[in-house]
Amino acid sequence: MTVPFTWFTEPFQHGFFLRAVLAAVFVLIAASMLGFGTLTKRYAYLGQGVSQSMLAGIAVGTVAGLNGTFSAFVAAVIAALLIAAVGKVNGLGPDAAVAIISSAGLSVGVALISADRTRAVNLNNLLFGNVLGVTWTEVFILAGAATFTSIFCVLNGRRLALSALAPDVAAAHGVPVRRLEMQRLLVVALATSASVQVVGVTLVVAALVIPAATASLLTRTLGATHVVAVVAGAFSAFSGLLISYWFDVASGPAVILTATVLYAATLILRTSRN
Amino acid sequence: MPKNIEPVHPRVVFTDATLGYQDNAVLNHVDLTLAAGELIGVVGCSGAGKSTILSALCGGEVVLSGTVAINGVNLVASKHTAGFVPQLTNDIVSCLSILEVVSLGNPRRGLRTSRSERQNATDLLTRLGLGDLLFRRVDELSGGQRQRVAIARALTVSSSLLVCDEPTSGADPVLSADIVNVLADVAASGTTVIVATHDFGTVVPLLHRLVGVGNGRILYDGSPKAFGTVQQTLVFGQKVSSGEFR
Repeated sequence: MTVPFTWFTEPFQHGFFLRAVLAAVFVLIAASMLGFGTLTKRYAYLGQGVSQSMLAGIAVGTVAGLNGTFSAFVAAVIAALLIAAVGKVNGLGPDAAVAIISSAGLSVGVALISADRTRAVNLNNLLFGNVLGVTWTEVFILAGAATFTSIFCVLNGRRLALSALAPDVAAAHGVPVRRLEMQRLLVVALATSASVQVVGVTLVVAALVIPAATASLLTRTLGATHVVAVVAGAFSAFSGLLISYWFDVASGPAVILTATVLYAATLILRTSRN
Repeated sequence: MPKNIEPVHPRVVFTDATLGYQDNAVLNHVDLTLAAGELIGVVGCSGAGKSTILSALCGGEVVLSGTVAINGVNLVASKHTAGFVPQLTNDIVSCLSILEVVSLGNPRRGLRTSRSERQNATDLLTRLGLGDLLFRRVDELSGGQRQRVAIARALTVSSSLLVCDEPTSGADPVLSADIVNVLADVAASGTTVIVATHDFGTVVPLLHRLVGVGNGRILYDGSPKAFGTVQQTLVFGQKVSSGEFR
């Protein structure tokens, strides 16, 4: 069976689809570049906590009339710092700290949005994304976020990797580990807050983790891992949106499901070959 | 022989150094000379100052007064980087090959590993007996092989000074002896190797020299063989059994 060429061309007759594809590709590029560190440091749970907490920031921003991406970014940074602080002060494990902060953030967000009946905020879009509604301005913001994230990762990739793999070794070998970790945190907050419109707060962490997990099955060098993760992420974004268009399913989940299928297929192939 | 493992002859000298954190001195009046090619152990109770000595050698801000110099130059000012070998753990588990993990020991900017870095890592791993396993992942290796990877990674930044923080912790006696023998081979090529350890059963007998710390001072500096009951009681407050001292 061959897929008709029009499957690929027809959606682009609509202006919103080109914007959606570009936005999704930029988001997946940014997230995929950060994926190696997220996987290696076992920060997936932190990403989940931070992304859910962003809902509180978006809700506060909506009520206060602020830009959603900006308020989500501020919320992401505050949530990450709070998770670290609660874990240290209370002696809780990181999983418990994430559960407390992310649940509180999610609850604040839903409570504020549901209480504010003067504005018609679509909670579903915030939770699962609505990439088909992005404007050109938002596409340019996402392009900027993807470029900044990529430059950061390319410039600091080896140092980030060493500090993720063995922070004590990195510190002894002259890496400013604490400063670099803070920078990594801010870039993750930037990338996740920029991703909300595309994949929603509940699926951001999947964009961070899944393409990098696919790459980890196929590569054994740092550079190749980043390149393959970006290719897998961009492919998932494009294919997911095509599926979303033709089968009329929500765009964010379609992108993440495509990435998941790609990961599962790679895992099965890899396992069967071994 | 690759450039970074050419024998060099450093001499690290602590002169009346007070070591500690902020205003809290951990060790006072430290006078210690570490010569090239020595395999030196540091022993003492937990919190006695073993890690503080290692931190000083790694350029940490722990020298409150006095000096720590390498080849006559203040160690911090010289920006000399010591290679660091951590405890035997599973920390270097990832999708990366051991060749890549070792190449990453040199934490310069950038993302890609250069050809020369890869060649250097290949030479080091081959020297440490892992030449046939270059493209294996770390989690596919045994404990001893993992620690060889950690030693190779440390040697990428310094062939003159290797600082090892309880590198045999958690290892059985056979594995411990294997790791210390590798460190002895590294020392034989001119690298100064300093090892914090609790392992009197396997590690200490293989060392060239032993430094005992306690009560805020260096209480013993000499041959491991001469570290008798009197010296053990001085450093630890009791005689040390042949097993690990905790």
